[in-house]
Formats: sequence, structure tokens, C-alpha cells
Amino acid sequence: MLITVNGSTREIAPGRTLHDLVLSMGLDPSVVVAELNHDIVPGERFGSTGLNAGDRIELLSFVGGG
Amino acid sequence: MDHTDIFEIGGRRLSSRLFTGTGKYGDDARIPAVCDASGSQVITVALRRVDLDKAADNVMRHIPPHMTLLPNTSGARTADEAVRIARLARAMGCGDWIKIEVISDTRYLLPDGYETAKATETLAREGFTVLPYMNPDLYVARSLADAGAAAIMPLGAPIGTNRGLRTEEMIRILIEEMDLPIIVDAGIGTPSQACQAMEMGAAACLVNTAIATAADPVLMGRAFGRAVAAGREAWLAGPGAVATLARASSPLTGFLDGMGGAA
Repeated sequence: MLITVNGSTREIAPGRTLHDLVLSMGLDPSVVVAELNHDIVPGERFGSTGLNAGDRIELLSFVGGG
Repeated sequence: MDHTDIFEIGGRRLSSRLFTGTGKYGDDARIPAVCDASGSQVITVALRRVDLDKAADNVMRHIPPHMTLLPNTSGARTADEAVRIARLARAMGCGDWIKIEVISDTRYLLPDGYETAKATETLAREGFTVLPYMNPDLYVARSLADAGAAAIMPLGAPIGTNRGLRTEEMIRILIEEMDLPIIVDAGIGTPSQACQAMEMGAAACLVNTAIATAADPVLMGRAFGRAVAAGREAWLAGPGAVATLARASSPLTGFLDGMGGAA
């Protein structure tokens, strides 16, 4: 099924969670925050958040800033 | 300096009045040493989309655990965008401080006072400790105070310019007229400028570019820490009066016979 992550379309297997997605991208879930279809998903809910076809996901992290 | 002078803000008791940033470092691994050398206890970060095409170093790895994190809303052009970024930053689980930056001007990166006040009101109601970046304008400052800001952060000069306290007179007015702490943010290029802001009665200074882009950021961080502390002490000490004519430092009596000099 197709989802959109940070503006890019990606193919993932059905039944995956947000946690699976974050790990599959080589990211450390403890330093990432997500928006799923514009709703904030904090890290502790990644594992219980299932993904569906057409979902729009934003993955963000802190970077240097002033 | 002893620790009787504490800056209380957002439920924290800070012994250092220098806030630092994490942007523009040639090597983020210098950040812990800068925190240590400068004494800073508050540090800013920004929130961005993860770059999925290349693995990036995570800045959080370099921020010592005792630091209070002050995420900013850079990238926001409207109040709604700033609120969205602030909520995401809080969801990272690193506290509820937020520096509001709402900027649509790309040339001078000047903050939008109206949108900043709207975002401040929403986020203060949601329990954030809100520190808005602002133009040093008394009416904007009052609207930010009414909106629930914990402090206000007027710019000394445009972001990243190192041009110093170009807005000195306007900041002086804010310090005089506002009950909220005034934290001078942006444009401070040298320790003497930070010291001057503190001598004027600023509550704190936020310095990023001047430290991060110095040839030796750790040494510059230490210099800024000392300058901010010195300026604060001078403010607390109360400077003596300024005079036009010379005033002798010694009595003008008791000279030797035949001498009539002064001073």
C-alpha cells in the first residue's frame, strides 16, 4: 500500500505500525516526533499506531537553531 | 559570582543569564564544551522534517542533560504554524518552553508582532512557557504581556548579523516600562555588547551566531558568560552618576606649600 512520508510517496506492507516505519528508515524513535494526517503522535504511541493506505506522515526531529 | 542572583523563569531557577543556541556550529561536538565554558543553562533548538535521504547527526546527542531546552518555531510564517510547531516540539518530551518566531520577511528575518501575539496567547493558555522573539516596540511588548508571555525577547539587530545593539534605545524603553523580563535576542556580536545589554537592565541575553561562528567557540562562550555576569553585576551594583565637568578623586585641600594643583 502507498503512504506519503515527508512529502514522498512510499510503498509499505499492510499491517505496519508507525514504529515499524520509523525503524525501517533507520531512525531512532526516541528523537523523532510524528504527525499522522495532521494529528500529533508522540513517540510512546508509535507502536500502537497502525498505518493505512493513503496516510500522510510527517517525521520531525530537533536540529541546530538559535 | 555567588548564586544569590537567580533568574526565575518558567519554573526554573537559573544562575546563568546567558542563553545559547545550537545553530551554525562547524562541529556540533563543540556544544557540550561551550555549555560548560559559558555556564549557560538554557539552549535553543529548531524542529525540522527528518531528511530521509541521508542519515544526519542528531543535535540532541550533544546537549548536556542539565540544559533547559528552548525549542523555537523557526520556519513559521503565521500564528497557526507556530502553534503547530510548538505542539510538536512539546510532544518530543523535552519540556514546555517555546521561543516563538513568526517570520515571513526573508531579507531581514524580522518578526511579525501581530502573528506572534496570537501564537503567544494560544500557547500560554495551553501551559507553555512562552518566550516570543519580537521587534522592540512597546505596544507589541504590551500585547505579548497581555497574551501571557513569560518574558519578551527583543532583537538587538537582525538574526545572525553580529551587528550589536542597534535597537538600544527601544530596548531601554522596554526595560523601563515592562514588568516582564527582557531577554535580548539576535544580533549580539561581541561580549561587550551583551555586557552592555545587561548593564542596561536586561534580564538575560540569547547568543548563538557570535559563539558558534567564532574561530574558537568554546573560548568565545566563556567570554560571553563572563560578560553577561559582569554586566548583571554592574546593573545590580548601580553605576555612579555621569557628569560633564571633571570631579577630583582626591580632596582639593592639604597641598604642599607653593603647589596649587588638582586631582
